[in-house]
Amino acid sequence: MESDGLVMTNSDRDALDALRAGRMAAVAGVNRYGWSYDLIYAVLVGSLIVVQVLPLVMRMPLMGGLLVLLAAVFVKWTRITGVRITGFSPRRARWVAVGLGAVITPLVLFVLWIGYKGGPAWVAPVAGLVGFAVALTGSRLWRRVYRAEMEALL
Amino acid sequence: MIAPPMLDPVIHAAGRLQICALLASVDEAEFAVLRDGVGVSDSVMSKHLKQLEDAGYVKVRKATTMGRQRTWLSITPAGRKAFDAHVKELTRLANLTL
Repeated sequence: MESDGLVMTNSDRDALDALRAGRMAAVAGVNRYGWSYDLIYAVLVGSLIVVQVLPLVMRMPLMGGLLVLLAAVFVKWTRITGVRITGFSPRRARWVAVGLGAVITPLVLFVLWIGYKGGPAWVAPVAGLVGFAVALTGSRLWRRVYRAEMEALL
Repeated sequence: MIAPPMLDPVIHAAGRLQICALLASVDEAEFAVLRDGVGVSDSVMSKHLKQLEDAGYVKVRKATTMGRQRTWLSITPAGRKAFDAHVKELTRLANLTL
């Protein structure tokens, strides 16, 4: 039955059901990014913070290696799950990603500054641990917000 | 006179709407994920995708991974706009009915 734009027809109801099913399939794909992804991602982010304290000659290759690993992990999980997500949509979940960046970036800069100033040795590992915890929590939280946002649209 | 809102015939079919809903929720999805999510055969999925691609709503990208070609799909800005308008109209109809 064709929709006349005035009342809801059976085909419109089917369409609504299809909409829900499509969104749930997306959630199922994103759910396949599990704990292992979150842990590896958080370890790499934590390491990226810690290496900032090292001298330039050591820091640059290590940072390069960690960034390549981070990209490789992203590509690997995209292949495993069959869905690519950058974290910047949908709207509310985007703010989790922005918030994560807003915490991680100052941590990186802070440890870099500590390295230049010759500050206490314990600062970098502690900042790395904080970065690890923030990245792990942020990654889990992003998925939770994503799921909630998708379900709210149904 | 303002034209009445219309449902997009390209998107309205259940299979294509499901594809658009999935693609609008992620940045890119692999063909197999879409096919399994919609629950149709490869050939039916290909037909749906061809229609969406012809309408400029979906972008197709082929990538070879370890010697195996995989097809990745994403929704275009025009597709997202059409999908959002379609969902808005569906929601309006649903609210009218309730």
